[in-house]
Amino acid sequence: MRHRGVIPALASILMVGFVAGTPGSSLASPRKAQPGNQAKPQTRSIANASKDLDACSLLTGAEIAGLLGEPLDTLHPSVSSAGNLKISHCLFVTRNFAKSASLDVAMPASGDSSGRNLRAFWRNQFHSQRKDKQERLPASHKIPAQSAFSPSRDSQNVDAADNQSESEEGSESGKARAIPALGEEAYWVGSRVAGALYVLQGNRFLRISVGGIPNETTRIAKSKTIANAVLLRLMR
Amino acid sequence: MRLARVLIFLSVAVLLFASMVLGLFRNTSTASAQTTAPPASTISSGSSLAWDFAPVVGGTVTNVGIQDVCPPGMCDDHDLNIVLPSAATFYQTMTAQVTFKYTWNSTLPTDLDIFAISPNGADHGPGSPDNTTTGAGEEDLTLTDPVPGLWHIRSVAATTPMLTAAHVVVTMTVAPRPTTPPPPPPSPGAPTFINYPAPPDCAPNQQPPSCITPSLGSTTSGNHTAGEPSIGVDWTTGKVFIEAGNHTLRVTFNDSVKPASAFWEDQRSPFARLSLDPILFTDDGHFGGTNRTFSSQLNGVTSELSFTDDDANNWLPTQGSGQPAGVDHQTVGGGPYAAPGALAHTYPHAIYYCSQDIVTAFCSRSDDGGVTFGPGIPIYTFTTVNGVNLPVAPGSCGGLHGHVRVSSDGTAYVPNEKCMDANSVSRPGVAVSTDNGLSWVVRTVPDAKSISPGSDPSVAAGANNTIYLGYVNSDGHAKIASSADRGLHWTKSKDAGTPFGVQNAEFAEVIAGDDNRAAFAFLGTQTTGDTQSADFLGVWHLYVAFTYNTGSTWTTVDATPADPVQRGCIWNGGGSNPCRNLLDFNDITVDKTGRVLVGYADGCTGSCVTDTTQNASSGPATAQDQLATIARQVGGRGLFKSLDGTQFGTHTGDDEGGGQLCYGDPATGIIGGPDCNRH
Repeated sequence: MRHRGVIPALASILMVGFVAGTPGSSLASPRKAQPGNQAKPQTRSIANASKDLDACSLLTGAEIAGLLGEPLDTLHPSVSSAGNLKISHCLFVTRNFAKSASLDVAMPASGDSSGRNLRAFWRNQFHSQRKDKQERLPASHKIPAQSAFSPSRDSQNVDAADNQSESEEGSESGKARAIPALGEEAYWVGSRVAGALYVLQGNRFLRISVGGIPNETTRIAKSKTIANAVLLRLMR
Repeated sequence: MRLARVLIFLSVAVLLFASMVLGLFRNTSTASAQTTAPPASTISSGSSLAWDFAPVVGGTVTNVGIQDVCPPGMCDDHDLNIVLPSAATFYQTMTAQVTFKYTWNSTLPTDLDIFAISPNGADHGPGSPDNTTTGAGEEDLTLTDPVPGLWHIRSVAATTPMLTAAHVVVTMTVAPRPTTPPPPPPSPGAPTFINYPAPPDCAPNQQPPSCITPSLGSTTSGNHTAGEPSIGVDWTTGKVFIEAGNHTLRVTFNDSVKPASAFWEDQRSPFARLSLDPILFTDDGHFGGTNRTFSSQLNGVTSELSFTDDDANNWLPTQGSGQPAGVDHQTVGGGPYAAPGALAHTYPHAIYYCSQDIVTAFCSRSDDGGVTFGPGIPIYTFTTVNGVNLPVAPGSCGGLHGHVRVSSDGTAYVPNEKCMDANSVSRPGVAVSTDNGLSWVVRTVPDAKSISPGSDPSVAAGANNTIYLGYVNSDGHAKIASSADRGLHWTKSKDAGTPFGVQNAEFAEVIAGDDNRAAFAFLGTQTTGDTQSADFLGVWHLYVAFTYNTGSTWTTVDATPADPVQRGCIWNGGGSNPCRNLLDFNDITVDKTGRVLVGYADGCTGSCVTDTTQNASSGPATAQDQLATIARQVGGRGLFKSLDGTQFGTHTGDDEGGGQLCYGDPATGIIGGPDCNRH
């Protein structure tokens, strides 16, 4: 065994529930969007919503066109199982692909009607501190051995930020950014190229990613608008 | 979570109780290791002994290094003095193994772990199998060539609901060290390489090409901070790029002289201000790319992704502004569109940016050559336990992914060392998209098993879409398999290190050319044992294996036979570790002639090359270097059959080698076999 360290025993026990799900994902055929494509209104509360919820039904073509500034071209629905989560995915492809939007709705898989595991999953991903486990960690945790051939990892003098070390910046990049006043909890997770907005509400959480928007503030704002529209529909 | 709280509460309560109970026994013969001197034994060659560990109880939710702290109640210590006949010289001619057969009995599901802490503090363990059992439990731990001196042997409660004692039988065997098998004689036309290390930074009165002038505003070219380099080549101009840290070094080879000379320039992108997860990708001519080169840094003050269309003379920023949050380990790649392609695209190839956030790994596609990107579409979901990303279910992956590659039919592949197959077994695999990144599915190699911790696998596609996946298997060996149907079925994996007796490998890197030709580079050592341990003393070389028959057979060459790439451990974990100098990966590419180029960080330079006492764990700095280096193929057959016999500047096909293993650099010339310098 190459790995070092005590087995995270209790955590492993807790994870058993997550890995006991049904394998595989299914991809439905792309659907050509109709001009009047209208999401079916949901008439139940989030907690009791249908297990077969289709993420593609949560936004209309008109809404997408209004929100993204591009007419909707096709819908790409799929469903996947992630342990005790069931994820309905929809890619809203606009005429200009770069401006498309991706929506995931994670909901409890069968056997977890209360959504307890889903909320535990959310807490684990967004609230737990990442430990310096003896496993290769994401780059934000890298502290490479200092080379004796150079005074620092890179001490360029282009600007002050050049002198930041990987570990310093890593401590920032490893965090999700809390987005206030959206759902029960919401976080923005992103880089300058791509990002996603995660929103927890009841026993579901959403993942929304929009493309083609250079400014991250605008990207977050668009994502929030989409989230609010989806939440509203889910609450009906 | 209520269950979790109960379990944690019970665990803590039991632990406290156990500590009190053990406290009562401190004056007895079963005193804990931390309150009095632990019991001790001595073992020498050819002997065996046994002892009982005191009962331990409890468990840990997070890795707090219990085996290092060894708190009473959760851990019991026994000191073992390992004696060698002639400590200083013993391992020059002999090898030793100390084996621990560690057993216990339990009435509830229990996992006990055995650890061996070396005299210099290096951890070995836990043993194998590391699992939870009821009834008779066992772990076996083997130390290969242990350093002599006082070791701490520890019985640690991992998941131990009741006080559980353990028993261990220790056996030490010694044997003459087998002589290193001579490498197989290279067949005529076997590939040969010359290594081109980056020259030093220019002093004030120095001029290139014997040195590199740091880019404007930089104090160094970053030549010695080149961990995890990536490499690309412009098929039109032949210029080669190796990027590490936030420097892009451009190398111009002059093949009019023999051996070819190299001119190094620091052509750093001004938008690569901060250095984190540097990635360079050249959309080269293999599948009709424009030779645009991308430079990506995970974080930056302005843009994190920039590109150049003129060999890094000028760089342009791409989409992006704002503060990064929670996104990690990005990769950039590209290639042709799958049919039907995008409705409208202003650049001939799809460019993918893939990364991980806090819940998913995702890919974004650009249709305008990387200027703007579409939404981040999940490629799989993972969960995080103790800071480690794990697959959540069959069809998902954990850990960190490797580098995205695209085949000629437009299929996109993201390799990953830890993907869960339908039977919930963790195996190397690939996330695959056949619809231009709109949807993804995970496919695994059925005869592969994940190693933990490990380095990324690598995938590459031949001209007619056969893919090759190189990886480090759970046994540490360098394996490679191929698939003709986008990963649905795989050939039996081949061990590319076999000709050299490679026992442990790191940093698998694969590139393909013709459909039946591919090259697989990896770092390998003939030394067995735990490569993560500070006292691992393996010597690592860069090996490159070639196939010319779709992976049926592989011809492996040692590209650095007289110059180790690393002495000692190669650390795959996070945080600060002296053996972390090479970081996470190397890279490989092919030029328009079929010549293979490997970009790697050389961790052993200067006096380390010949001084066998140096190692990455203890230094000196020459054994912890990260020098940007390019291994450039100069002989043998390349990856394009149509150019066999022409690609290395002559019409003989193996100009430098004559069938010999050749190595060297522009300064010292090519050395090796007698024919290595014939021109």
